[in-house]
Amino acid sequence: MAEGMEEGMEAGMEETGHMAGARAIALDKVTVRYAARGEPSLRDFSFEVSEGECVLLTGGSGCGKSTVIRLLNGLVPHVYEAEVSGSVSVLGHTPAERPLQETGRTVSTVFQNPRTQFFCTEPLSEMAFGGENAGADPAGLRARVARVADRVGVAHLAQHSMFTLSGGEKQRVALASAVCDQPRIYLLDEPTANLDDEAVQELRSTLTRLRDSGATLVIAEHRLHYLRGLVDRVVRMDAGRTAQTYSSADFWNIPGQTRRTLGLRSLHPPATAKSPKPAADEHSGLVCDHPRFGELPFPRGMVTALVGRNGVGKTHTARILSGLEKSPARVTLDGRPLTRRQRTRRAFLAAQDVNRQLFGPSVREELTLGRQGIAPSAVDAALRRLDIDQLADRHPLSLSGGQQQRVAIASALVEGREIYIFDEPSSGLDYRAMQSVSGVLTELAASGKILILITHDHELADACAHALVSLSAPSA
Amino acid sequence: MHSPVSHGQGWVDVRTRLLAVIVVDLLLLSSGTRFVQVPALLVLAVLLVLERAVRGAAWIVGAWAVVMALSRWVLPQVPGGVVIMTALLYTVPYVIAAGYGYYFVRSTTPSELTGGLNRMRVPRFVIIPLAVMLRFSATVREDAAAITDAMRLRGLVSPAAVIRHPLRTVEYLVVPLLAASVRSGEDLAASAMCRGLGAQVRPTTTARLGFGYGDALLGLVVLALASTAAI
Amino acid sequence: MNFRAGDLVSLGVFTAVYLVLYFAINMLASLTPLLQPITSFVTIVICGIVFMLFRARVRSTGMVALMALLLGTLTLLLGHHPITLATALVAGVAAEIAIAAKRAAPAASDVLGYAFFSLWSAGAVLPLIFLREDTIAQVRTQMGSAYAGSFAGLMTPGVVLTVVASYFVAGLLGGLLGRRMLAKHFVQAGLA
Repeated sequence: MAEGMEEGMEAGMEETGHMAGARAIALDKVTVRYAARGEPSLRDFSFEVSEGECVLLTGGSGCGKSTVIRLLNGLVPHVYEAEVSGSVSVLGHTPAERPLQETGRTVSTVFQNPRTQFFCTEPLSEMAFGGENAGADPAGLRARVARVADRVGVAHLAQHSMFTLSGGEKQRVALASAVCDQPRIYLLDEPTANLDDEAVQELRSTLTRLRDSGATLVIAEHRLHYLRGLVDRVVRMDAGRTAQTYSSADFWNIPGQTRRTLGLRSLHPPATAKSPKPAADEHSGLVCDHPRFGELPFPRGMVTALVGRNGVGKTHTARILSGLEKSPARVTLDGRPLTRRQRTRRAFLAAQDVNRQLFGPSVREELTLGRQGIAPSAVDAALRRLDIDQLADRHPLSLSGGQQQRVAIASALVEGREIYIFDEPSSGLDYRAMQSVSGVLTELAASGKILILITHDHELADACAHALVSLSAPSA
Repeated sequence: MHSPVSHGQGWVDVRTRLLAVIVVDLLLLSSGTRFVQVPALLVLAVLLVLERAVRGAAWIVGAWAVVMALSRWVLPQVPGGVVIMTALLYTVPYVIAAGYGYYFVRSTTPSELTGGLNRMRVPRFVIIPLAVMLRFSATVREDAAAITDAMRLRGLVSPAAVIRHPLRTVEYLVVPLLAASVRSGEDLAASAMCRGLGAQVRPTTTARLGFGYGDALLGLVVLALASTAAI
Repeated sequence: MNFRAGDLVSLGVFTAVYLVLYFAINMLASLTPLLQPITSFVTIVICGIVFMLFRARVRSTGMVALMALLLGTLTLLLGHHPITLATALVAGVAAEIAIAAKRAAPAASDVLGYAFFSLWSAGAVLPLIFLREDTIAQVRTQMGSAYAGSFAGLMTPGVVLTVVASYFVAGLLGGLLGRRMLAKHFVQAGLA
């Protein structure tokens, strides 16, 4: 069934005659302190993985799981400078003492951002990239790429540019590329951070096949439900240490209340949303009359989720509502029509990568940018409301993603904007950060604003959205 | 940027194409005669059509025709037209050369280019940055578009703002653009190096390289162009 | 030349940003080449920000010359005069020399380096000195001697050299702008 992968495994095994069950990874009392930071990211951390095992590393943001991945593939210390003490052994070698490129021949990593991890512009070239860099024979490499493309299910994407693939498709190509490199160990650093449900399920099935073929997998993740039945062991981390180790069965039996206290995401697949479609009120709220989708109502005072299949037009609709795009659709606010120009002044749109929306040299200045006559008291009020007053003098680009989001929202609040549209605001956020996003959205809605939430994160939608507008492709 | 059809089944090896484009550029820009321009333009149009860039071919031939018509019949009658005409005529060979560059970029994938350059034993300090640039330019443009969208929503980019505070507008665009590019670049470098970029071994390539009838044909065409320049 | 792979990737990233800005601004002059000296001036000033951040992050010797060479090669491919390759090489080396003189004042040496670096695109206007005879002859056959004379008066070597000097001045301004942006933004953001 998984011939391409088994072949890879066999090729790897032939090299050193390693047997399943032997120790593939051994970290012993490792402490890591990054160059720019004060606190260590890992403290006295010990960790072992046997060949053929599948281990999940989880915990809140900053717990150190990404640092572990970076130790294993050598990015710490080769790319991310850090003081490392303790011993790190991967397949008998210390990654810090070998060139990155050498470690990469036996350890493959799938990163979390589909946009920035591919080097080539076509899927097949991307898959061949590792082999080319290793000096592999082209004919054999081409054959291997074709085989793996079939197995992993990306052969139909061969004619497309990487830039036109969806996030899920990009991640599948990334995984296929890793398989082509025939590694002994697969490392995955939050691979589902930017993926929707369908893509997550496809990733799961590919990972299952990898595991069945005997691969060693180490997965760092926030999203937990899709890994049930896939991993052998779970290590929960906290502040750079191991907080607790679980067997797979024990972990997925953690009761809901406990796992919330531990700051973990849902362990079970989310139920499909059952919120009602909001009633269109003529005198209150935002209504978009779209030629293709019909009437889309977004009332004041509540968070309305905007859902639909990948590519159906959610982002497009968000851009129409915020006035960024021309469209024959009619948009009215509280019964009065809004021109495109008016929409750009009333709407706030938080797209992915909030760092592309911040312009000032400090948070405080960010809030008054481009506008005259904003009272300092209004600025202070907005900062307090979003709990970022202690960040007032920091540069926006030095903040974390969640903090940047709040700064962007604060700047819209200060200008008195009415319409708040969020496009995937909780991508890659852990449980606590997701809860805090939910809190902000709920609070904004409660103060009478119009909140539109585009998300494939069911936990977030369940937590704060009370209405649902669904976009579907029109029939015929 | 380039057509979505899988390349590597192209009719001409990337190295031949590169050489052809460089030679034609030299012919166009250093000889200064008019006689090579028309044939070079026609050859370019054919090449673009072969690459399915029919609109590009039409555009460049059309633009040339307009410039020639203006220079011949309109501008000599207009006061000060000589200056404009000279300026226009001066740029015609540059535009055609740029057209050849466009043809090259459209017909070549980064992997193909890297493969060809590696085959020619070009040093890696040339190849790696070139490959990264080809890969990254689209991302830079995407980021720039997202940033200007955000600027529009915040009211930071009206015509008035650009005229009265040009430096500030530049700051609003370039600073986030660089910040985003640096972060993306770090990710890109990390993942590429983990997959072997920068190893001591000279990389091989799965792109299809090799000389055939197409290369001979293109070579003959370029020789023909070179002979018109000698007139 | 043993450059690190990570630095070479950074070079590609920064050169990509430089070129995108370069082409975006110069497109405005594509139909009226007379505007070219102005748009080039503006581009050089703006790209000072790109250059300074690049210098702050990648300090190995030779990277600046390599960037100039890359820009020269790419614009050659995309329609510049072949002499641009030579000017890029000279500009790059001159920039490296200026930068290496950091004993005096590191800030000043970087700004001076960028000014020399910005001469890489002088290849676009230098042919007006070399091809002058050809172009004048062309105008003469089409329009007559009187017009040819006025054209010759317009595009003198003096004009061309002034344009090149303006690139140097733009480089100084751009360098200063770049350093200001470094201090105001990139250092604060932890990127420099």
